[in-house]
Amino acid sequence: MESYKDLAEFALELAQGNGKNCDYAEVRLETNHIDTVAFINGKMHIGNLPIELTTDAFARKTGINVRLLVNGGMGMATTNQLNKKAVQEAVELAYHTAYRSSKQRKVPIRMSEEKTYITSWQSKYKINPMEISLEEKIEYLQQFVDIFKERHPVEYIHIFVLLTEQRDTYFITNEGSRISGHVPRVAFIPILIAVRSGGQNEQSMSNYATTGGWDKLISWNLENQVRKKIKILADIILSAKKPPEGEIDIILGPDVAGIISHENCGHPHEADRILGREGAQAGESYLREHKLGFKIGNECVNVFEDPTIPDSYGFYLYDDEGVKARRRELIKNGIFTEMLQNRETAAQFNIQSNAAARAIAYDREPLVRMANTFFAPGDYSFEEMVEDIKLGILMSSFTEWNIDDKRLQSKYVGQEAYLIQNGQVTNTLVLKPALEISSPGLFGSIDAQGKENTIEWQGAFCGKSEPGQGCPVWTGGPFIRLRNVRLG
Amino acid sequence: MSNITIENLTEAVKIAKKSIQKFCSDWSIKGIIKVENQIRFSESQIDINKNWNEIKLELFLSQKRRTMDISMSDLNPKVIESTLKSCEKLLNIAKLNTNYKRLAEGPFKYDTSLQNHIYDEKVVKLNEKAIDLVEDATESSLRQGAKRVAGSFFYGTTQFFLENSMGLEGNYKRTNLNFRIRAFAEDMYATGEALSCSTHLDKDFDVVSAGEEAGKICKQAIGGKKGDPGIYNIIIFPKVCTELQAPTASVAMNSYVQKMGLAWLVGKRKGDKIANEKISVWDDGIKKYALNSSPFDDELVPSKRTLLIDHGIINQFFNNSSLAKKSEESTGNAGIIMPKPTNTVFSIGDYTLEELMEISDKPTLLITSTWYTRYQSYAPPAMLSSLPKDGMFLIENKGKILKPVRELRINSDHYHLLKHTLALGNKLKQVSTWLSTSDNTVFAPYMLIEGIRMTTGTK
Repeated sequence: MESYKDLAEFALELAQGNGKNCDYAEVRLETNHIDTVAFINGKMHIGNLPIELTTDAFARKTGINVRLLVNGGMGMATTNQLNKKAVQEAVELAYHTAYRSSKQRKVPIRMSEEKTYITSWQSKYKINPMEISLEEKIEYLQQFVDIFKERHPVEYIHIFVLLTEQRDTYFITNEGSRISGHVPRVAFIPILIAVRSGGQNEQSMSNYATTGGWDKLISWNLENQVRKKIKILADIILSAKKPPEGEIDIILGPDVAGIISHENCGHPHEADRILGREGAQAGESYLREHKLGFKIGNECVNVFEDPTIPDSYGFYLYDDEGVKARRRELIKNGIFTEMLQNRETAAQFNIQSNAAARAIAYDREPLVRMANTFFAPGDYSFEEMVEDIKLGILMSSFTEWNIDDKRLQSKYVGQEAYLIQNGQVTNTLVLKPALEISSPGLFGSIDAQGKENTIEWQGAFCGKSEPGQGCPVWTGGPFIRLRNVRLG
Repeated sequence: MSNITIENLTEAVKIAKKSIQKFCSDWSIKGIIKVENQIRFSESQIDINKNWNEIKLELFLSQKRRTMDISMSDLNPKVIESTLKSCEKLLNIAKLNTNYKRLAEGPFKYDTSLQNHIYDEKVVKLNEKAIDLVEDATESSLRQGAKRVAGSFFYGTTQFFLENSMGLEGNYKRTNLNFRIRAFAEDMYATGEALSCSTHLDKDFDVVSAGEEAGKICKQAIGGKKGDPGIYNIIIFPKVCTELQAPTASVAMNSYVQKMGLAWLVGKRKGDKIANEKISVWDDGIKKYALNSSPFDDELVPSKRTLLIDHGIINQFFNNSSLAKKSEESTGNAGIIMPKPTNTVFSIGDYTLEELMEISDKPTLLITSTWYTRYQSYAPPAMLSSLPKDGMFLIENKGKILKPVRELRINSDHYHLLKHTLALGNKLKQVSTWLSTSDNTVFAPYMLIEGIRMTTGTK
């Protein structure tokens, strides 16, 4: 990495020399190392997986990305040929394609004015997961595989994935920024399918992920959580009953609150979707028709975004356009308060970026992305939420889910879900309760958010853009309560 | 385009090979030189013009059946050497991979004529004309009634160089054109999407028609109302097949996935009926002008046309040398550990789209696109839901009236979808779409499917 920094500087010099006139020039030198070890049904697997988690399960990647704004047109060129000739070619390509594109545009692209930084940042950790030996990784995974040597009431298909990676960046601009970043990540992903003859099955996928180092992952003592998940899948198959009909109240657990904060709030608040830039890819947003100040939900609803949360999977301190990260208040007291912005979208709103530009590798453009999205804590204890529910369910986790490309019509099918009757959570498991609801319908049904001590986080890879960029994020929240909802 | 040449790759291969031969019993090196371009546009303007120049090594390493794959695009000699030293250590302590037996034994004969049908010099020289094509498609869409368009145009060349420990080697190059356009009306919920893809500029690649189709659909979708939930027949566009029909052939018929129990055909064997007899499906690795065709697979086994589903009955799961049973040959779909689909090709029927609308005798929806297909479980029956994304229409009066509807969600499973396919269109279209459940190229016709449960939000 260090040895190529001069080459990045060379690229930036070229972008500004020989009569070139860039409105904005940035060069990002980036290295990504990815090691994935998995056990599939007890058999060790090193390599690409039959489930899509990463493009390359075991990879060594270094390259340079040159992104230039010329005459209001944007061009980007990348190369992993780290020599002057290839870099020169990349700069020429980016410049000429940007200039040619500008001729087609009616409205020139601009970048928002931002403070520049000369700094370096990294996530805090004690043990870099990339430095953990294969033996130790095997030992870690083996504890979960061994659970299946015991007797269980149903059969299981089980996959345990340990994904370790490291991203190092050197970001420079013609405005003067020089920012080095360093983030190792680790994710433990158990995928469990409980199967009973006759076609009944239940599948779950969890993601315990952090930038806080190998020691942080170990500190979570996940064996008990996995055992609990294995048991509950069997219990659902063996005993779950049909969900109640008619209007009921629903308490959503932190897992479900987290995915909702991401899908129904984070995505539609992305400014590039609102402006139409993802129109043919991840889609647009129902908020395109509304302005800041629009009432999305009840006053108790607060959904925030924060890349600076220590240990979080979406952690960063400066985004991939060199803007200093901060917390974003997307929905505050039920009101559409803030969008996620990069410099290009912020310029269109004549405001400043709130540091949401992220790229996953040198060969990807920085786009408006989430980091860690969550329902903010409220005032309710779990007991207070339950006590006045006559008939309802507690949906602790989810299985199938989807949402339309305007982020308006969503569906969450519950997995671990219990019947609530007369102010008590019963032991009766409810089979696949389907919450099929619009975003305003959902946020307008929430009347309570749990206290801070009930907040939990899940790791995830957020898919967006073309070519696709699976961006590491956390989603989370406390328990939340929905009133008067009908299951689908 | 780029001046990257094979010489840039040769040195990296040489260094890698020297290291690998010291500790691997079986190995394969795949060198890739990729020059790719993308024009992304939205609001009828170009947002960014991207260019990628990449040289990459994809390595398969095996030491006494302990295996690993690695992708390397950092080709600094020191990095290659140190990474392969780490790989050697990994393989020393890795466990036996019982899914790997051997690499294919040659020698093989390859169809050299395929090269001309997957590589087009005109694509290499496209350069600035690519922007003209985007402008042409945009204008054609706007002429049909779109107010604005968004989309993406990928075009480029990839060269592949393979050699392995069985003494086999080969190379080929392939061009790609992949254009997608989405049209929006004033009413932002009225949208239409269409695409065109090929390896050759002059073979079934027509961006103007794609623009027109997207524009027409979005105009017809204006004023759509929330549809009524219930059971419908559906007629799906070829693009929708990549989500609803093709995954059975491209995902569940993968021998590796089947062996791991990770798909909805678990328990099904050759001879089992899984689809309507009108449906036959091939994995066709040698189809002309198809984006995933190649003369050979990752083991250098010649690519083939393999019949997967024969008139509704399972004929063959696609595989590689290790997963082929004793009595079988490889279907030429390596991935050395995990087989890969090439081009999934459906059979055709006798009907035009208009005729399909005419013969459907129950309430019928015309679905032009869908996305975000999610499963409750990979294990059978693998219940799924999928969201129609662009124009969706309730067909009335045998197709003479198309009434736009919205906010309906498909709820089904792949068995139902295949078994209840009543009729097929009479033409195939090559489709390769963004973030599709089928990650490969699909050739599909329009399809009429009966008895699909459509649901909608309750609040």
